[in-house]
Amino acid sequence: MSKIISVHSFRGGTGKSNTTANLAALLALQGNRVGVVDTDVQSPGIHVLFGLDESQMAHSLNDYLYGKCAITETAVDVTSNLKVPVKGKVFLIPSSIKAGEIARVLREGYDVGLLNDGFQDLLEGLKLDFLLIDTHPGLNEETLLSIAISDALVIIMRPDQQDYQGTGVTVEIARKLGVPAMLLVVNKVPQAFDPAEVKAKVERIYNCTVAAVLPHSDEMMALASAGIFSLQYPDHPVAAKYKQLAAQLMA
Amino acid sequence: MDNEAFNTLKRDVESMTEVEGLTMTDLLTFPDDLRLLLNWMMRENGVQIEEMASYLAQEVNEARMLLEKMIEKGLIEEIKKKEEEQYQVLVKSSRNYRVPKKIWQVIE
Ligand SMILES: Nc1ncnc2c1ncn2[C@@H]1O[C@H](COP(=O)(O)OP(=O)(O)OP(=O)(O)O)[C@@H](O)[C@H]1O
Ligand SMILES: [Mg+2]
Repeated sequence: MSKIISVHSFRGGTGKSNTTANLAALLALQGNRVGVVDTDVQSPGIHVLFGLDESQMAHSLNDYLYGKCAITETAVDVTSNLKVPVKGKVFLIPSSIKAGEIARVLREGYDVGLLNDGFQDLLEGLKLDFLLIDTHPGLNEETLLSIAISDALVIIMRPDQQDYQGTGVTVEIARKLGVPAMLLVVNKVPQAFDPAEVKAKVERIYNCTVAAVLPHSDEMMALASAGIFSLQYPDHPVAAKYKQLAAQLMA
Repeated sequence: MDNEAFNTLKRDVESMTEVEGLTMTDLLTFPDDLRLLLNWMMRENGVQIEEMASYLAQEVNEARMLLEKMIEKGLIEEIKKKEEEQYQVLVKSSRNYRVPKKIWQVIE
């Protein structure tokens, strides 16, 4: 059965795009056909992780949202960009990085209902096993829709007081929307913190299990979104955590 | 759900004002059973009347009455899929990009 998985955080910069890209690559390594949609139309970024430049984007999600093409026409097969042998496939549905097109979204908005139809067309048209949705931080109609139709929601937070408050809001909304599976991820945990303590604290606050605690990693900072971390550092502890998350999504 | 809960659900739908589709923020303000029913339909991406009846643990006729009311109120629409009648939540074509203020009331 195909699965829609949204990756969300209340605040920005928590690691959504890196997590989405790593999960997509790891799921494809296991032979899955994976789609990745960059719904962060205001500030797109995940294409960078897949090494995609503007010349390779014939169409973008924006073209679909404004009725210029079918959503399946915007999908780019980025499997070969992963540069390791992969049994499955990764398709990226990028958002436009043209200033004028981003400005249009900010000015006019877009028909949020089209996202729902688009996701379904992608699942069917590309015969996907998983569709991962990289979202804009915070809550708006479009992130709420992504959450509402997800089979699983990955919520990312840092061990930061500001994140603690905001994440509570997302957890509550996900519960109200009856999302079948919620995977809470604590990212960028300083080496000085005890991961078991962080896990216990977060679980106590939200009354919800934590799927993974990822340490802050200098290697990951140094990679600086120039590639997929778990493919470049397969033996790194952060890669092990990503694998653990991917396994939970496949279960 | 039991008959009492089902009757409450019917009354909740009856007392609603007509809309032309739903926004996600509206959905968050609905009573639990109605919201969960609509969430379920959204995630299934369309359901048949028999599936809806079994979700509600009601006879098909009862489910159909509720369904017709929901269509009347503009919450769901009929779609044709693989030659079958299916019903799906009607997501409002809102170009409203910002979070409406009432979202904060919902989660308080
Ligand atoms: N565990 C980690 N250790 C160190 N750096 C990390 C870790 N996870 C992510 N980063 C870094 O944090 C930065 C932000 O990551 P990313 O772009 O994935 O976040 P995001 O949530 O998608 O941000 P935005 O909200 O802006 O879309 C990147 O520079 C990334 O390399
Ligand atoms: Mg991002």
